[in-house]
Amino acid sequence: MAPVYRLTFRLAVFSLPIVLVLAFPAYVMGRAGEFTSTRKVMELQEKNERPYMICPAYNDPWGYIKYKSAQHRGADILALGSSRVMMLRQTFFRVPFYNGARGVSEMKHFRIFLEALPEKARPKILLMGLDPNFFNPGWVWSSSFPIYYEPPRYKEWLLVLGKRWKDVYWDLARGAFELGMLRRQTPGIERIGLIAKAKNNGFLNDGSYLYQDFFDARKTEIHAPADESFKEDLENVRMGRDVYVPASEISESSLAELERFLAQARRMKVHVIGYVPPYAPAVYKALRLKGQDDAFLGRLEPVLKPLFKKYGFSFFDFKNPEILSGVDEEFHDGEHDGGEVSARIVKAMAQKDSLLKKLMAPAMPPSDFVPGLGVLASQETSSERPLYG
Amino acid sequence: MQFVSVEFIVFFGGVFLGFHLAPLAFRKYYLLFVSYVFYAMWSLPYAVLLLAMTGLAYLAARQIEAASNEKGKSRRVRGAVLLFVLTLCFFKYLEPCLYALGESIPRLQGVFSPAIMRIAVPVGISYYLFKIISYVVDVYWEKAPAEKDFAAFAVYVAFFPQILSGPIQRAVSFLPQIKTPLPVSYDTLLSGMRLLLFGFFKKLVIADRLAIFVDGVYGNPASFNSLTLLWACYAYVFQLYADFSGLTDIARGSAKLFGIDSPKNFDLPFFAPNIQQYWRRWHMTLTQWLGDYVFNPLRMALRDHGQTGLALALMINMVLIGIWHGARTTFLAFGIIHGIYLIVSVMTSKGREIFFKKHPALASIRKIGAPLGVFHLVAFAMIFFRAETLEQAWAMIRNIAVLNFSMASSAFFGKKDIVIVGLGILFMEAIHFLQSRAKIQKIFQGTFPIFRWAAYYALTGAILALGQFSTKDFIYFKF
Repeated sequence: MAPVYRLTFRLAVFSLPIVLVLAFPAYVMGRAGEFTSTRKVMELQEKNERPYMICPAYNDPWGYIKYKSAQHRGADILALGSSRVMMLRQTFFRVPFYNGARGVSEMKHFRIFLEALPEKARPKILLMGLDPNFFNPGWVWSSSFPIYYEPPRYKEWLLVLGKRWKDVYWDLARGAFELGMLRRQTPGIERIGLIAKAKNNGFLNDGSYLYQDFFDARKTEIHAPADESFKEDLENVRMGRDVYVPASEISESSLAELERFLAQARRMKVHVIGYVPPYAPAVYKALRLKGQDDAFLGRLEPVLKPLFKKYGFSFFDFKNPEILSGVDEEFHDGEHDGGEVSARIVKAMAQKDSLLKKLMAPAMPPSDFVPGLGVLASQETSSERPLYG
Repeated sequence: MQFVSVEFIVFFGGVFLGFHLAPLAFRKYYLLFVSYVFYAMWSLPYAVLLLAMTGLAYLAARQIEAASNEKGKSRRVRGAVLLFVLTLCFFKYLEPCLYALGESIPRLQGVFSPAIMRIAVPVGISYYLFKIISYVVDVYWEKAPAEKDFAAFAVYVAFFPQILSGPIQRAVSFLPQIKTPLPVSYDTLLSGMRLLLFGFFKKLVIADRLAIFVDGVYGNPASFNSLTLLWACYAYVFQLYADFSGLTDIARGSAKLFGIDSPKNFDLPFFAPNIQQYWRRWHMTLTQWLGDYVFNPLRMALRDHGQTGLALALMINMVLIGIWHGARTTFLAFGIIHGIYLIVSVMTSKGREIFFKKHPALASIRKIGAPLGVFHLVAFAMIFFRAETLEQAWAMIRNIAVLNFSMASSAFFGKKDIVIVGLGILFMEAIHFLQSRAKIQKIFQGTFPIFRWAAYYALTGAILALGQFSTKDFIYFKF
């Protein structure tokens, strides 16, 4: 046999087991909608014709989606921040709203995001979620991709498969999802992505996030004790890692960046309302016991409030959930509430900010209310084990 | 089209099959055609530039050979080399120089035509023009005859596995292989495939994993503590090594699949006992090129100036190596630092030999200490190579020197990454060691097929399971 045919034949034989190993994850991902392209996700949610709940487990394009969608939609009220603001919903307001949560991961992203908005797409009000770690000099946002990384046009699915195929085996083996869930359909709402299918959690059309598993659990079970629900956050607080890296001073560069952003917003005639999102009571208590409230968290408001005031904007510090009468049962984890606390955040801000007050909805539906569908029926979810997403 | 991309794999697969289906006599035309298709996919106008440069070099070499006297030859070679050097400077250095001029003299801002300021650097221009210059000079020096076969010469210049980032092969080694093609043996194909596999491993498992850490830290040096910054400096040395040697392996492996042997670019550089040796083992085809066409002529011209002449020749050579990478002050600093290293090393080499002869007990310490010392010198210079600006480089050095441990440690690199990269580097260097002693082929041929296949599966599995499948460019693509 000619050398080239011999090599080609052997390569084909060699590749066969590899193809088989990759075929199963490809099937699972394809079936779950993980291969839905980022552009398609944006298109589906922007059309707003029917409710979509979208959350892939093996692809995280949300920085880009929020960045681009905010430019396309031109909402009157834009929420911007990390995942901690993602429970603010359209139902809270009577004017078009878009939640750009996850469109920001560190201080400088606010300005980049705002500057990229075309004039027509600039909001009247920008709700700015200021995570304390943005001002912590010992914390750095880490990601292997730039936040607004534009996924490749045709081979996004191949990159997802190449990067994450092994996680499918791992997640299945540890029971994070079951194959039967891939076929599941919910009347009235389209679920795309493994987390949406298996956990019933995902981004809705308004860009907000619904933790439906949290509401389902509350309807069917006695809520787990705080120590159990917030185990990971409490451990991080104890170890002083992740967003809980201890700090004793406020980052000068972050303050300078914030001031640049506020000046830019004023020039662009965007009214900014800044706020520090609340921690779950158990986590806030742990932070206080560790001395972080006195050393760092408590020092934020005296610095940030005058800065916002200087530019004619409002600022609120909700780090302490007691201000909002928040209880542990209303929090999905140490940093994210289920939605009820977020509703109270907006109400509290509206009481002090007359511009926001004018644009509030006359009445707020429940926090697990999906526009165009109502409150979703309970679903059986896979297990407590989180997916990698 | 990047080497690590689905597009390249599809393109390469098709080209490879087409090549082996084509009759032997037709293969060079086929390679010429696909090389230009490959290049035109980046930019059609620059493919025309490539063709023009190739044509000019072809004609210049013929003219040099045909010149009846030394004066005529010399005039022609000078003219040709000047043209190619000016072309390189125009595309590679004009825009950054004008930009820097505008930055430093505000009155000049906006004076330069926007069209000039938007000129993009043609991909691989530093590589193919170096090939062309070496060919023209070799013809002048009568080391090589002027090539009559234009198609063969054009393949030499545009050969797609080499055009983007080398190795910078000499015409005398390339042309005979393309002009008298031999059937490619199964062993050659297999060794090409092995090089490809190893190149992908180095790029995807080691370099791109390290890149996450290095990019994160260099992107924000003020935010990290001294230890993290120090690690990032070391990590970059290995990132660059794995990235560039991986790229070279992919280029050499691809060439082998077309029956072309290409020179190697690396030979265990981090085991070099002194800085001169390091430069004989790192980016070997570039340093050999500059040695032959810049350093040696300079050394001859300055030979009457003794040690000063030698120092000057070394410094000019290293500065050229630095700015060959681009018109950036950091590359200039990199070249100057290595120039100083080399001058000090060359000037003190006799003294060091005498010292170690007098103290034989220190010989074993020297064996380990010397490569370690060289590695640290290289790592220091690489801070300038990696940094975007001199300020960034100084910030790195200053923040390491102040021994500040209150800032963040790296959130980019976990224990798992350290283990993967650590084992990956050990494996890579073990293979390099065997390759440098030409044992790898013997080992593979001497084992049972089942072990060979197990090794191939292990490497493929490592790439698929541990590789970073992003769309990150090779570092040396941009040079």
